[in-house]
Amino acid sequence: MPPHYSICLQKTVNKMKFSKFNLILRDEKYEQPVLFNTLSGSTFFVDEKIAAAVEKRDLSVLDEMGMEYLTRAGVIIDDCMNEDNIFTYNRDNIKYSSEVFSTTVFLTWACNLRCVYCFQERNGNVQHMDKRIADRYLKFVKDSTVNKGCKNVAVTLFGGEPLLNIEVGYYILEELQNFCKENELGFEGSIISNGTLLTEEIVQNLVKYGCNSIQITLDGVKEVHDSRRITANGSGSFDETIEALKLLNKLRMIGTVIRINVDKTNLDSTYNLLDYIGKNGLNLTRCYVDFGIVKGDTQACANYAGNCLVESEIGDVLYSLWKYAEEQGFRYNIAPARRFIYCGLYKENNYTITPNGDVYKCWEHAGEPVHRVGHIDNRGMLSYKTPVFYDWMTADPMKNDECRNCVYLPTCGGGCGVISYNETGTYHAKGCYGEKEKINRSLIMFIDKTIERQKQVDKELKE
Amino acid sequence: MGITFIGNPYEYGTLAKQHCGVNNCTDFNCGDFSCTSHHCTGFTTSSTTSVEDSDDDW
Repeated sequence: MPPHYSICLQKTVNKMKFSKFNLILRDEKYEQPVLFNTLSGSTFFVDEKIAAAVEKRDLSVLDEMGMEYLTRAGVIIDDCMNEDNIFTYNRDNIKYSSEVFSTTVFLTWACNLRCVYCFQERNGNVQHMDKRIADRYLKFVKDSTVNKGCKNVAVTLFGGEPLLNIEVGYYILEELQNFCKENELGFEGSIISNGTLLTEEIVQNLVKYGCNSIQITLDGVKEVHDSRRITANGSGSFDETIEALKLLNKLRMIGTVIRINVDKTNLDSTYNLLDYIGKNGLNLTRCYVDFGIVKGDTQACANYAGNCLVESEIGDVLYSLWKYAEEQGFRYNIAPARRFIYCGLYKENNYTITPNGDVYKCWEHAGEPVHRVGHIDNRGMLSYKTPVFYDWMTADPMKNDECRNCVYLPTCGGGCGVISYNETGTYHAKGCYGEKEKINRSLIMFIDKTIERQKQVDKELKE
Repeated sequence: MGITFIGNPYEYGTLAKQHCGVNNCTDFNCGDFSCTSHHCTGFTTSSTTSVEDSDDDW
């Protein structure tokens, strides 16, 4: 039998072919090209001859052993296999999974900061969520969880600044925590805050009610942060934010993420910030550092677009920041992930709820009526889903030639609906913003670390 | 054949708990939730604690 034929499960002789999801990556730091199958995850160094064969989809250069090896790795597949179907099957499974009912709840639109790039207090709205709306929301979550047979409940408190209305936040967390205990369900709470109002008592309360992670934003060293994250009275917020992070680092009660939003105006100072908070500075290395790339693409922050990084730079910028953060003692395990959906918000059981009980899919669009998917009524029901819901939920990268034919698709998931909408006016375009470069760079991070570990193992074996 | 297996990054996440960024989830099933759950595409409440994280005290 020629090497490019095999027996498939139906016991018929089938022709073989290269997977459509084989990525060849050449990087100057490696002597050989990297072969990464984005569907299976298998990653190899290959010689130029094989790299060229993969790129040309020419199986003739492979010997029998090579064929078998790469077939086991998903790099070569039966010709009868349709990988689009594999992707769609897995995507559907995840989209309609009842594993978790997850919501982000805006406790308030009000914020004590006036960040230069932020959409909060949209249209001057400072509404808090009151107990009446909170009760409707709680009934919605509890009923939906039961009706959908979900095994877990997740809630993220957001805003505005959620600590401005934290009593309602405690109420929501406590109610959901008790509901989950009574029904033997998993529960996860988290909060996104600017940290300036945080106290030890608040941290203790959050933990008591099941909140196990907090995200706080830092945008650079003091002068940079203070020029971007400004309080309502015009002063900076750096000192208060740092105090909050020190407190969290000291208490060690709650997982802490330091979010650093990066654009052209603060990139250089971000390295100085990492020096300041890293192992040789304040040593906040129990926290995770997450870099956010500022995109001036929402209606409210479009005038900031000129300060944003050029898409082609994003991979290199992130790679450099990840490496530097690691050197400063922060923990990183960056690697490409298998993603059949780009983001959890493509799941049926994921919603964002604003203070008046309006429902959206993504928080980036919260408060913009054109993106509203519904409203929680006085019976605690999302009784009417707008056409937007169905439009969002039916976004399908397989219907989009650019995504369907993209080798990165299984490790990207088809891109962000918000980016898609802001660029094209529909949720159905590719929604890709630096994704390929980010994936390339995260693959290199993974390879670097794997080589490093192997060297360590070899060294230990020798000793 | 000039083929050298490096590894599989999709299995890597199960070995080490990692933050999956809010808008850039890099770990499909970390179950960690430091990422703020909303954007995480994976969800596991069971522990994903690894050898690396065994000394974690929060």
